[in-house]
Amino acid sequence: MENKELQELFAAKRTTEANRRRQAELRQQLEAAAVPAAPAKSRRLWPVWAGSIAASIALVLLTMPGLFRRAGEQPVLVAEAGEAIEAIDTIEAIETIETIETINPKPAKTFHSTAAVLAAAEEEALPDLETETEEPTTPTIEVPAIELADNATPEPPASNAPRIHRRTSTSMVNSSNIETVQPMPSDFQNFLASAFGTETDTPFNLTTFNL
Amino acid sequence: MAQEALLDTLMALQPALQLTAEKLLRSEADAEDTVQETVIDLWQRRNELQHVRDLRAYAMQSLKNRCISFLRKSRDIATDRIELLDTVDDDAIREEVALTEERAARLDTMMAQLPERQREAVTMRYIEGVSHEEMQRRLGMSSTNVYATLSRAMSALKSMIK
Repeated sequence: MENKELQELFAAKRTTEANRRRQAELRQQLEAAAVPAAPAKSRRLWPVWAGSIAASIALVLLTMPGLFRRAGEQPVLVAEAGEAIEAIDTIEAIETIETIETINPKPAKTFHSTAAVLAAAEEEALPDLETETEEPTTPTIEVPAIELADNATPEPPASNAPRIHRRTSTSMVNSSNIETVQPMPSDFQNFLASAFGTETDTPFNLTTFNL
Repeated sequence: MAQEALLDTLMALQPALQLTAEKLLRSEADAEDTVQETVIDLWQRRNELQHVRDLRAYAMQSLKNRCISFLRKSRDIATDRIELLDTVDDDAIREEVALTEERAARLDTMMAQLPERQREAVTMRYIEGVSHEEMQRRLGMSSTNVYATLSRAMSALKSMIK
């Protein structure tokens, strides 16, 4: 083929045909459900995979001695942690004893070991909850029942001690709610008896009217 | 961007990517591998590409980076080819791809005017690169007839160019 222009046309045609083939292959790969991590056609990717696998194996081998060493160190770490906790307990026990001694001074004791300090703290410092716990006491206010017989004049309180009004709830009891109950006048009692038809000989109880 | 649209975009970019990689790597097979890796990587990261404004420039830069990595890893590393990265102009690549497609379309038009036997012979010999012996077997012709058919076809094509 001597014609240069014709050669260029064939070269262009070959290029476009090759690109169509590559596009078809690429589209087939991309449309597949699982796109392969590495193209199957690639001949130069195997060193990458081999290198990755070798690096992974080397990393595991390098890490394993460290893991074993850490496993050996674990009891040591636990022992150190136990000592640390014991030290903290000791400090707390000493502080508790000092607090108790401040409240209830006693002759100072000398402790020669941590165990002694802890024992003393357990015996002396901790309060006995069973013996020292008491039921909470609530103040009680006795409310005398007011019950009046017919024509009976309520007796004035024996003393000037305040009495609680009946309609006052106990939760509202305070000095401002306390008032002195005055004896009901006899005229008012007669008025009530006539109004409600109560016979004079019937004992009249004020509580009936919910005063 | 929808997956189908992204797929079409990547397919449309493939010729430009291939031409760029061939210019940098000077190997059609290496360029094909590099383009394939680049496109598959872009496809796997398609969720990230939704925020990319110029996908063509993004894909081209990704391909160039892979070409640089390939050249650095290869033993016959050539600095002049790495320097070529700056000289490979995207617009020039775009024009060259368009010219190639234009030429191919023109040849298709010319070959469409040839008799079917001549068209088959030309396609096998000058596009697919089939040997004379294979052409004899496929076309069921003797060697003399194959040469004669090709000669007549090329004369017709040359006359079409003029």
